[in-house]
Amino acid sequence: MKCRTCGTKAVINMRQHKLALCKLHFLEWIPAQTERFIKKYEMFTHYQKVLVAVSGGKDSLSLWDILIKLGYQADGIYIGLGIGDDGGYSDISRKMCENFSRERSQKLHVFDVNEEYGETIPKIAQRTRRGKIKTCSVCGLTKRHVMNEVAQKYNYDVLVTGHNLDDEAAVLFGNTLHWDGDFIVRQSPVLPATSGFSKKAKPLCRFYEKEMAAYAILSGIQYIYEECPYSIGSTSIYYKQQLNVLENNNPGEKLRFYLHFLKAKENGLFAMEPESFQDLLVCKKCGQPTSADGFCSFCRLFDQR
Amino acid sequence: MVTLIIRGKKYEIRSGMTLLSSLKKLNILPETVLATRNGEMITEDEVLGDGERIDLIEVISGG
Repeated sequence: MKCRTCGTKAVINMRQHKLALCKLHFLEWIPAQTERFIKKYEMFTHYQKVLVAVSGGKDSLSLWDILIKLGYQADGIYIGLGIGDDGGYSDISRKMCENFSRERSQKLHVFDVNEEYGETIPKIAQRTRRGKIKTCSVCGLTKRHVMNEVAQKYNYDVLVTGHNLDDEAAVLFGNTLHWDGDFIVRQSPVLPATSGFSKKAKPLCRFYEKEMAAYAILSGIQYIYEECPYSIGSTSIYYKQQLNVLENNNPGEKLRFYLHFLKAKENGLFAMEPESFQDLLVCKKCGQPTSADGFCSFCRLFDQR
Repeated sequence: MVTLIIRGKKYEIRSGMTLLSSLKKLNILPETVLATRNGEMITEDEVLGDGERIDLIEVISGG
C-alpha cells in the first residue's frame, strides 16, 4: 500500500478515510487535523493557557506532544492515584509523565491523592458505597475534582483531555443503550466554563484509538502499555469491542455514529431540560460547585470514613 | 511459518498470507491492533514471509 501524499510505502491505512499514509505524512496529518478540530469546535487559542491531563497513556501523552508541536502554551497535570504496589501501575505511569515533561522542558503539576487526602483510590473505593460497586467511579470523580481544582487554582483557560473517538463512541453507545438523557445532552468535544468549573476540551475526539497508538509509536513516545488493573473487564472496553465489530464490517461506522450524534445535537434533536440550567451551589468543604446542598460528591467520599 | 506475538503470547501461522488474513485466522479484529515487523509498522495488505516475527500491539484501553 502506498502513501497517498508521496507514493512511498504506507505504514497505516485508515479505512474510514480511505487514506493510507507513510510515517512522515501521518506524523504531519495528525497535528494538522488536531489543529482543525481545535478551531472548528472553538476549543482554545494560542493566546490561552492550556492544562493537559496526562495519565502516562498513549492518548494523553500524544495530545501533549501534538499541542507542544503546534505551539500551544500547554502544561501538564498528572494525578497519582496509588494504584498497584511500589513500582506498580501508578508509579510507572508517573515516571512516563515526568520523563516526557523533562525531555520536552514542559511544566508538569503532580498531584498525589494519597499525599493530599491520606488515602489511595483503591482504599477510598474499598470503604465507600460508590467504590464498592465500581472503583472506576471513585477514580473518575476524584480526577474530575482534582483537575478542576488545579485548573482553577493556576488560572488555566481550558482543561484538555486525551479522549479519542473510541472513548467518545463507547460512552455515547452506553448512554444510548440506557437512554441516559442527561449524559447524552452533556457529551460534547468542548464544554464551556461555568461558574467554578473550567472550560473542558477533547482535541482528539475524532481520531480512532488505533491512530493515536500509531502516533505514539511512530513519534517514539514512551507510554504505559499495561492496562489499569481496575479497567480489565470494564463496560467501556466491552462497548469498544462491540463497536469495533461494527467497524470491521462497515469501515467508518464508529466515526459516523459520533459525528451524526454531534450533528443531531446541533440540529436540536436533544433539547436541554430546564433543570439542567439550575444554579449550582458551593460545596461547604472545598468551595467547588455542586448541585447538592452541603458537600459535593467528592467531599462526601470522605464523610463516609 | 510466521510467528505473531501479542502480549507475550505466541501464535504460529503459515507464511504467504496477508496480515489481514492472519489476524482473521486468529480472531483478532484489525481495528484493535497495530503490527510491527523489525520495528517498522506495517499495513494489513502486507504478505508475511517465512520465518518472520510480527509483533502485535493492542491499542484499546479502558477508562
